[in-house]
Amino acid sequence: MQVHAVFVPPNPTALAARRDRALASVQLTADELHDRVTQGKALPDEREAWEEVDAVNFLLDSLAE
Amino acid sequence: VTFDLQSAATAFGEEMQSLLDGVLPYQKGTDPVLRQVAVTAGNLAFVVEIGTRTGGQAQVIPLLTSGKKTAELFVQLRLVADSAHQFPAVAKSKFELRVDRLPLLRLDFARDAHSVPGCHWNVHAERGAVTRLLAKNNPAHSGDLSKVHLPVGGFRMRPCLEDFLQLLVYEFKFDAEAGAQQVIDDGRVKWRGRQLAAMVRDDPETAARVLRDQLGYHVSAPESGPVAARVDRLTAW
Repeated sequence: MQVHAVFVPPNPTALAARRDRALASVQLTADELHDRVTQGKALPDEREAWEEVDAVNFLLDSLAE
Repeated sequence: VTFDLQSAATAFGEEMQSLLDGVLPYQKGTDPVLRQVAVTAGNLAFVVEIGTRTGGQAQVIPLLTSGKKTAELFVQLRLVADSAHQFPAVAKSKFELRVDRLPLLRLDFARDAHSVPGCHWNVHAERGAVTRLLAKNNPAHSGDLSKVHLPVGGFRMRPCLEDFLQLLVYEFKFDAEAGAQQVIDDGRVKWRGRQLAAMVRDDPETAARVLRDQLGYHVSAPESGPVAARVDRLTAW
């Protein structure tokens, strides 16, 4: 079975919840997480959490423009 | 979000879904929806990723060897409206080959990168000679090969997802769908056509000269005069 791409409309509340889930999963603030990634100290779950936070922030910034 | 831009972003996602599905087989026993391409909208910006609609967070695509997962592919792109707010343009992309959640190879692109090549490979491997050389010549560098940014020709000539997929299928020999090469070739032709069109806009005088002098086309400058080259694009690392 194959699937079709899906369009997810803008939803700041859902995006913020997604970011909060990612941060809660590693128990770090966004700044702490960013520091660990840029310093090359991030564990796999922290890298994945940062990818979530960074992508969501990109969308939220866009919505705030 | 304008209707056209939303439609274009969705079409972009559908094209990516067709490419991935035409090349990489699904893992038996896993929910196919976890491989669904999701285009999440901001205002005039979009994130294209895998499985977020159902999985809650971006998913990886299992890479299979004889039907068993042996590695993972992570794909994420960010689209923004182009300067005319008519089409989505890729602002950032990330393609990664991972094993046990750790990257082996990364092809990163960021349109606004300045301190590193806009598009580059990172190779997550160790080589003592590289570390020694970096320590000697660039003490500020960590010495990690994975932190070396290998340039690939600027953002116009960068490799496409099709190139990355062919690497996975032909060098690493991950399982592939029958007809994968045709899907890759078709996608690559589309990609290069788009990039070529963008490069013509970057340097129209060179394009016109080649058409006129080498291929016999009748091409003349607009009445307003020749369109200047985008030097920033032509010099981009």
